[in-house]
Amino acid sequence: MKTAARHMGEALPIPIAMPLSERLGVAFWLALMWIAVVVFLAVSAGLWPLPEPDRMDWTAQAAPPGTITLMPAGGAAEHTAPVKVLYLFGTDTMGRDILARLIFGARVSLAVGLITPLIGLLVGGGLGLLAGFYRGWLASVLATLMDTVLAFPGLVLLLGVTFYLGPGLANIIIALGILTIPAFFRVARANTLALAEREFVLAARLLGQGNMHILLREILPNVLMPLVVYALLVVSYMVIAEGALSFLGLGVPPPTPSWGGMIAEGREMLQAAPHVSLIPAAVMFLTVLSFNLMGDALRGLADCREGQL
Amino acid sequence: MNAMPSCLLRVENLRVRIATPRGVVHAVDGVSFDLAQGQTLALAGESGCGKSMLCRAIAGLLPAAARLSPDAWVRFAGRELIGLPERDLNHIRGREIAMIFQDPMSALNPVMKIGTQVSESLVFHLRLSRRAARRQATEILAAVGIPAPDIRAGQYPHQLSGGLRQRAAMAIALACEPALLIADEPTTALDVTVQAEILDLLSDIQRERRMSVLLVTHDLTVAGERADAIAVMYAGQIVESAPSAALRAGMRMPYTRALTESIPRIQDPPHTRLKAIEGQPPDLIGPFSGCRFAPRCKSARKRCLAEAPPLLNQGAAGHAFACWYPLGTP
Amino acid sequence: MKVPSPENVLEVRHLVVAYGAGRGRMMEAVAGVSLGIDRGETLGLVGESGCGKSSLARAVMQCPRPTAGSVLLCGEALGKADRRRLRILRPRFQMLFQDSIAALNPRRSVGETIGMPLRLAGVGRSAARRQRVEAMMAAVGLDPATYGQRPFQFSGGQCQRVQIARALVTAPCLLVCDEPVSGLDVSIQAQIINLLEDMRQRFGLALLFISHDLAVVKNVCDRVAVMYMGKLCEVAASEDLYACPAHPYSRALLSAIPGGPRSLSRTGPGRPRADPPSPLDPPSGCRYRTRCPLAQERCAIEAPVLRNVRGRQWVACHFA
Repeated sequence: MKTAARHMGEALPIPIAMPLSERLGVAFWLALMWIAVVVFLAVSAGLWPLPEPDRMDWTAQAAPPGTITLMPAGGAAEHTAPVKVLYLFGTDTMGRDILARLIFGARVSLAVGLITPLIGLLVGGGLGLLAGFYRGWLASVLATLMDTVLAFPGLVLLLGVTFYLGPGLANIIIALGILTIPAFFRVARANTLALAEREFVLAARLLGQGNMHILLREILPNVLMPLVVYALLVVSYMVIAEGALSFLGLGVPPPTPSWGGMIAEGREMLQAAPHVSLIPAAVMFLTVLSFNLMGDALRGLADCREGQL
Repeated sequence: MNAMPSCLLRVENLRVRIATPRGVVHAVDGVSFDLAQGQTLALAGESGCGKSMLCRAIAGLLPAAARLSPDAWVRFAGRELIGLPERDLNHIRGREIAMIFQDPMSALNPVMKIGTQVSESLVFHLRLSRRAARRQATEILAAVGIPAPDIRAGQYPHQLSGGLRQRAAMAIALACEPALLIADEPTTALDVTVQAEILDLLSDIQRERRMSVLLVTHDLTVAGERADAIAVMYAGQIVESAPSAALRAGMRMPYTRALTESIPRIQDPPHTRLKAIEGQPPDLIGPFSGCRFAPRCKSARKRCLAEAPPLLNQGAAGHAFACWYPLGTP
Repeated sequence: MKVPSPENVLEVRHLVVAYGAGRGRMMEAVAGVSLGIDRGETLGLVGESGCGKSSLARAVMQCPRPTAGSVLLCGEALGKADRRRLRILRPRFQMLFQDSIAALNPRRSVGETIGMPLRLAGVGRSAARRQRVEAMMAAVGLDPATYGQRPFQFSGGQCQRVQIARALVTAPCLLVCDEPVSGLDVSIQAQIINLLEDMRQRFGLALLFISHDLAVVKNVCDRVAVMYMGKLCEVAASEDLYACPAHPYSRALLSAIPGGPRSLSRTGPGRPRADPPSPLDPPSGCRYRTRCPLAQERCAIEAPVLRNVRGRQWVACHFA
């Protein structure tokens, strides 16, 4: 049981203001580094000296990490010396290099993870801003519509949209983006409702500022921060959602690699070759965790700045 | 202030430091005072002078980032409060030391009926049965002047006006007949007519029960009217303390005088120029040198900026102040 | 009532502000108030919380427009002005808010905030505007070098100065102050009151000063109007009101001031007896009668109107 009052043992160590980097915390910087690495690798995917992600090496199926094999370099007609190939993370059930597939799969996950919240932010956030500011019956109708979509089971909606639009990365992004719109709408609307009552908005009105100007210059800058923080959290949800879709076979169609698909492929070999599922799972875990930590740290920073001691 | 024989609360050398992103805030910086049984002591000062933090330190309700100095002690009825385990402190809080706050709405649980909140305290501290506690709660609500107490006991805080809510908060605080009541700006958020009623009620109850009251206020006039002794705080320190009558008769600390003069008085005609204190309230983040009020003081001299004056009992009985060149010296 | 004169800056006639209170009921926050302010004059408006002072202030500022009645600014009826005309008129009447920190956009620098009225009115180019803003900042006691800082870096008193600078940068003729010093420390309050007085003299402002602090009102205002439940009880010169209040409510308010000449009069007819009645269902006739020691039958039937009792003192009571 803690004692009721705390004593100062030695003098408090740091009588100086905490710099920004410290306030964000170690976790934030580690997370940022991981995300930076993933993004860098995804963008520069084709430049690395790795085997093609869809090249199947039947001599090394489900090989453990660190396996080195000899691959014939050119076609059968050429007598070039075989090349040593290092599978850093091993291969999957069809002999494809896991590392290469991870890097190319990162493109899919990041595309889904980053673009879908953007759709939600722009459409949902924009609508929420308007609904919270103008109110009226139209806003109520919109809010009810959003609540309906929110209440609908997401997976069923996704299935419906992908069935209608067809498979493919773009369609998945659109479908998931539509799913995130209601949540952003609610965040934007709630914040706008609160801000629209604040005195500085009234002061701007009293100075003669028109409605559109107030919305863009007074309210939007203040709503942006909570929306961005929320968007970062949605990124991690979307990465998982894409993974789940791929796992179920509803995601990006093969041969494009994706993390969820990679996890799915390895699930029958979990006992014999666990690395096939676990490595992509670990990478996805770290990525999602990093986005969460970044979102948390930024939210803490935003709260701290607005508040006072 | 001299320690009277029936000294209920004694605070020595209390220092509270809080770590913030901007640095270490010295919220309370070396405060010592005594409070006798049945006496009312007013802690007067502006916001940021440390009076609220001082009360929280006494009640053991400091925020997580706050630290007390190791040589501080707070003795209540002979018991040392600092370092007391949470469990024992819980038995003292509410039973022997009670606290009421500035905003009654945040002090009351919005989803619990008034009567239940009062009887909760009785059940926990006095081990009364639910029924007996409820009966006594209604009596206490009547004692604090709430009309139709049996009906009000079944209502929620949002159904009461500001004045009634503060009375309800007082009922909760006084339920177990505490020996010490800490009132942190109890009337600041209320209308002026209600303010007077609440302060009257406080005086009545105090007289009936011989309760000691630590009244925190930013209003020196209220302090002068309702308290036996006044301690004026500035930048976390007590700069002047005296019995009310003595303080009214003659202030020695320039800050106290400047504060009194900057308050508009009813007797003055309209558009009287106020003698405002120049400058800003002090930054509580160190380092400090000299008297904290010196940068804003009209009678400051070189010594004031270099050396911090100690709080000494000078002048008339019980009149202490911290100033090198108090008012009245050439 | 005051006869409108060329010097008359603000004239309010039979102002009514009503809100829908659900289920078809209407709540009249302001129930027929008339007053006037001359150039250079300060009128105080006092009353307890819920009496409608803030609603009156907002109605004068046409934000939202009042339900009934008229507001004339320098002779021009604001109610009849359309949106465009109102926008042109806006720089001439401004408002100060109680919560100075909430009245400033946290994401904007104070310099931009102060310069916003100039920008909206299309005054000058940005360099000239900045000069004017910095001059205004110096005039209200702010360091012009803090032009680019954000409100959270300032104290409450400094934020109030920023508000004052913003309100006065277009040189209005009327300033409505809604509890401008209520949340401030005593020492800062004195500074702000002095500052308002300086600005009043410099700009020849007419001030509508709303406050619940009677000592501050006495110091700042030439005349005082006492409001209760949406109606005016008494309007008088400050000295007259505080020396001999005629309305029972005014007397009750003044007797409650700590340290005032009538304080601690616990046996006198001072203290109101019961809680204030609900504004949704005000008492018939005189609204104060449920708490008034002088109430009689007539008070329930007939609502009193403001009548001149002596000199510049007007009271709404049958028995004053």
